Amino acid sequence: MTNKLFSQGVKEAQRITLTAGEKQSMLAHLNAYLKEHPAEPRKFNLFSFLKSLLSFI
Amino acid sequence: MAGLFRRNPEDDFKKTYDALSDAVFRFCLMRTSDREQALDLTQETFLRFWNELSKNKNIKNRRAFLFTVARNLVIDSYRKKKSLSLESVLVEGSEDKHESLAFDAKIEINSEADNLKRSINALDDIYRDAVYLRCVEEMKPKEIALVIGQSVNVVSVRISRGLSLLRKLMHYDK
Repeated sequence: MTNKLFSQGVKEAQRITLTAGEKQSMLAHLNAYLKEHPAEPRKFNLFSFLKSLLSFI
Repeated sequence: MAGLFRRNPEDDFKKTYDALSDAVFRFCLMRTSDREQALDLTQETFLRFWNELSKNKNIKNRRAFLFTVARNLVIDSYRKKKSLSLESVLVEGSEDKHESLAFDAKIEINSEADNLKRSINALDDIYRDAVYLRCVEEMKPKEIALVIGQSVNVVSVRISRGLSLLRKLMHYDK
């Protein structure tokens, strides 16, 4: 019984989410920020390329 | 493989936002009990995530990174609230304002979740996040260790002790 109540509390807590409106509104704000602060161009790094290649092999 | 063919950072950001924004928001809401503040903290967390991503920094564990940032922001907001409430008491001599800033403000969540939230928040600082991340977000001790900056052993002990304290707080030990 007690464990059941605890699990129920966990399940209910896990159901807490942003509303669709909140999610969209936040994403719109974040997209505006992304445009104002674009990503830096990626520089080629031989060491990390080789490291990735080795981990892939 | 991922290192060789990285997605463009914007797509990467959006994918991470879709996957983890609810979890970050839930963490902030459970810790602050204030929906507006939780929204602000979630947004700030993702802004900081973008600041790292846009510099082409390699973030190995996004979830751990986001929870680390969110946790630090929550702790900062607590500090600000504490200093603000102290100032208001000193200036106006009113304890009502102090109470209005109490962290256990009611939020609109279901009773069992609310009970769980209150009990987790009533835990000592050192157990609170470890227990929350394990129980609600179902993170492994290894990942929690990254978030709270402790060893896996310390995290496992905190989860175990925290859970037994939580059972007592929720009167589930009888």
